[in-house]
Amino acid sequence: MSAQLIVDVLLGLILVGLAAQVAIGQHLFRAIVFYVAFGLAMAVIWARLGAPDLALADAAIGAGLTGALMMVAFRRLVEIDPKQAQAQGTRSSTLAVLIGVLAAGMVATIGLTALTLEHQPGHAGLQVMAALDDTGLGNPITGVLLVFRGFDTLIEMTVLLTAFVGSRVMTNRSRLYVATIAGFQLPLVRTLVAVILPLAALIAMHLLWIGSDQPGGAFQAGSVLAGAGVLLLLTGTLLPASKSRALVRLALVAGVASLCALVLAPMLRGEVAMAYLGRGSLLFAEALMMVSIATSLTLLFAGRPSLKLGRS
Amino acid sequence: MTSAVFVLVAAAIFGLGVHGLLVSAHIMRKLLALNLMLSALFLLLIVVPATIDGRPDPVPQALVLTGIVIAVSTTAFALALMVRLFGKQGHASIHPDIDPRLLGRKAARKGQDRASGDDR
Repeated sequence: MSAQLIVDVLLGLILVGLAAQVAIGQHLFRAIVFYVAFGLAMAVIWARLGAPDLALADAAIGAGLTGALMMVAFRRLVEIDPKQAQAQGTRSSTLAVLIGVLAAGMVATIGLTALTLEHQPGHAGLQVMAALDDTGLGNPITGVLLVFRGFDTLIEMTVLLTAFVGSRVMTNRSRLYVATIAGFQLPLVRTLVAVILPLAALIAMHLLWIGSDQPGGAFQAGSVLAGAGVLLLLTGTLLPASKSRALVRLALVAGVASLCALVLAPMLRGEVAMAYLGRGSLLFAEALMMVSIATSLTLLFAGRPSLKLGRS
Repeated sequence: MTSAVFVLVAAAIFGLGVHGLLVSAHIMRKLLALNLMLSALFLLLIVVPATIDGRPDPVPQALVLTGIVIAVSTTAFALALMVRLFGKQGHASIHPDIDPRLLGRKAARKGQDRASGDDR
């Protein structure tokens, strides 16, 4: 028991230390790198807390993709103005320290008070576990995401689509581009892509397939695929393209469309909207969501409406 | 006990995020700080509810999963806005008259003549 506590305290200290480097470290680029490390430490803590779904999502999205997006945005700033590489952008302020400490105290008070509260019998989590058998799913989180609170997920996919459209509007006329690394001719990079790409595809399909019963699902699978997309962009196998293609647009809206179909399809059979249609329908929706998530996140990284094949 | 430890960790990260948000002039630093605050809240959301069979409650887990995806979407949009703003005004700060490159140096320099440039 006490050994476990020591591990928890150590993990917590690592996380706080990394957060401190992100928040008050001197250089912007260093802060971004530390943010990636923070995301990975967060993933370890999710695993420690028994939430492997969150660990997978945070490792792929929180650490990997957010970090990649930050770095490519930093790169674009440096392209416009090389002096930006030395950007510091923090000042010291006693008042800010005081406010930070008060905010931490507030969160600690709320959290510690909430821990002492009696848990209500029959709260939502217990009801999910009780109703899960009726859905035939093994993973309660997939159950919540797609059956019990499927509407949230529909809105979430809409937010992702809106963010993509918004970013596209913002970057439409600018000449900012993704810097491809020059080392594409190096044999090592090609080998790396040749090894990682099939593995990433395999892992994504696996996560999608087992998502109904075990940790995994559309979000994790989609972010793994998006990671592969970022790798392909960095090595120049895929290049950002300005001309939007119908197929790419279709991939972008597939997730929202499939969830809308999931909402409306029961009405065709004379049931109420959003009625549960069984595992097969969920897998169908999740597969399309995975495609949408992977496409949107890769294109957000590329900063362009579409992709084309590079020289190979 | 584990829960209490992670509540304190979440509180510390939230405080660091608030501090970072206040002291940074560069928009990307502000975004990093906001993401820290989000992570702290996610941690709180998972740790505080009762565990079911030794695992965290699935409902907040699903909420956090949704939150992670929404966080990356909004961050990506904010970064696109920032790059655009940078292209327009030449520095990535929300204050039109503050160049983040000038911050973080000695405050004494503030009084010096800015027209002489960065005196490098």
